[in-house]
Amino acid sequence: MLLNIGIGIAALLCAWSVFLYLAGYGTATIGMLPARAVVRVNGNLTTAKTLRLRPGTYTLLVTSPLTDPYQSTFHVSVLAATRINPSLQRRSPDAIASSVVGGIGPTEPVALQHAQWFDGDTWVVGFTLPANAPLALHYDTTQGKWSVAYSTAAGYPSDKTKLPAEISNYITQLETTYVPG
Amino acid sequence: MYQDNRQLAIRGVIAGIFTLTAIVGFALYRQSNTYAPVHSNTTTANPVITDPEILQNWLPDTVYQYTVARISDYLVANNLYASSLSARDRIVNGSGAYDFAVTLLPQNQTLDVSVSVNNLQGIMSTAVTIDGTLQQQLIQTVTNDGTSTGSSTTYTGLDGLIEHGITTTEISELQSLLQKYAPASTSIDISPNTIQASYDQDTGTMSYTFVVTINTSQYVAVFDAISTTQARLRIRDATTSQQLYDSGTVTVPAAP
Repeated sequence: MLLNIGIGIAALLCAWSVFLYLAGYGTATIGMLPARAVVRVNGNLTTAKTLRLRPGTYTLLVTSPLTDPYQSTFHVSVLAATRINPSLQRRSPDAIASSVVGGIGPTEPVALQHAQWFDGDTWVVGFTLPANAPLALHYDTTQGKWSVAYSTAAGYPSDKTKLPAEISNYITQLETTYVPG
Repeated sequence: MYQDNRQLAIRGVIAGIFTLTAIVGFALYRQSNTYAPVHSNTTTANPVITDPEILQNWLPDTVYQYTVARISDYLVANNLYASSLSARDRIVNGSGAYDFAVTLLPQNQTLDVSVSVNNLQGIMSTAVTIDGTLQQQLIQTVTNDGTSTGSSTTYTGLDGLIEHGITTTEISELQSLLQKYAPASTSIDISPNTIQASYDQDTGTMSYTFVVTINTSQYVAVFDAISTTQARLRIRDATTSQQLYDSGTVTVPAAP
């Protein structure tokens, strides 16, 4: 009798494990991603918008050249559908400037003061301390990269006439208002 | 009596088979997670960074590579080995440096890292301090046009790839991606006998699969040259086949 019960339990466990192996997935759909977003789930890169996942808790990391890194965890249950809408924030101007120029002078991290965005957030312009030097950064949508479009520091483009008029005007405004002399 | 024992034995075998199938099925279920956390079963002084974009959000590419190299040097010097490395929280734009913490897994040990970048006339130098100790004197790393001024990695076996049709531009991109994965490497050896090339007409992708030895560790690498304008490198542990690195699709700079 006991053995029969054991066989029954073992058969149920067997059926359950086979079911889990074959169909034990949930789905997670990631919405609202910017262009060139890099998505990592538990550290694995993925390009799929809808993920078929084993039940459990996962970490999600979304980065892009235009947004601050977004990190969160989400839970997936068997046969359940989860939708994740990352609340992506515009990328910090300080981070953009830092990732392009690294530093200002000897070991001074970059902080972009009075930063203003232009042209669909593909330009950010401000001035850097301590010299109050204007800095214009441009995002090349083709290359997917930020670069220095204008800086008074040696080694960088410094021709304002090559900039779009609104960028050039804002730099002039910064220079008039904040640059000493 | 004999009949009873026989039936008992048969039932026992049936119960055993069911139990074994349940255990194997459950083990396979647990193992078959495509999105299991990235890690290697082996620990190394050059562990994969599971979230490099967190650091790259703030650090220029070459500063990032230099930082990772110094972290690797620090692990070697202190006999610390990890299966993976993860940025903890975010970078703090501190006084005179970019401050952040990295966690060594699986031991969950935290290192406090400070990166100082000196930019004089567009030429950047980097200094990395880990747990309060400067890892190396300031050295020149890169000019603002992205040209690296120092590389100490010795490559062998690239000729084998050229014989399989890879272009010099793609070779440069492959080196760049290998350098991103292992910035502290001193030698990278591609085994010519292991190179396999295949072409996918639908996507225009030429894939090169080969065994690569980075310092003393052996890996299987798959380099995809996609339509001559894009590339992707994936690296697996040669022993466990665990994926350790995926560059994602990157744009190959046009040949000069």
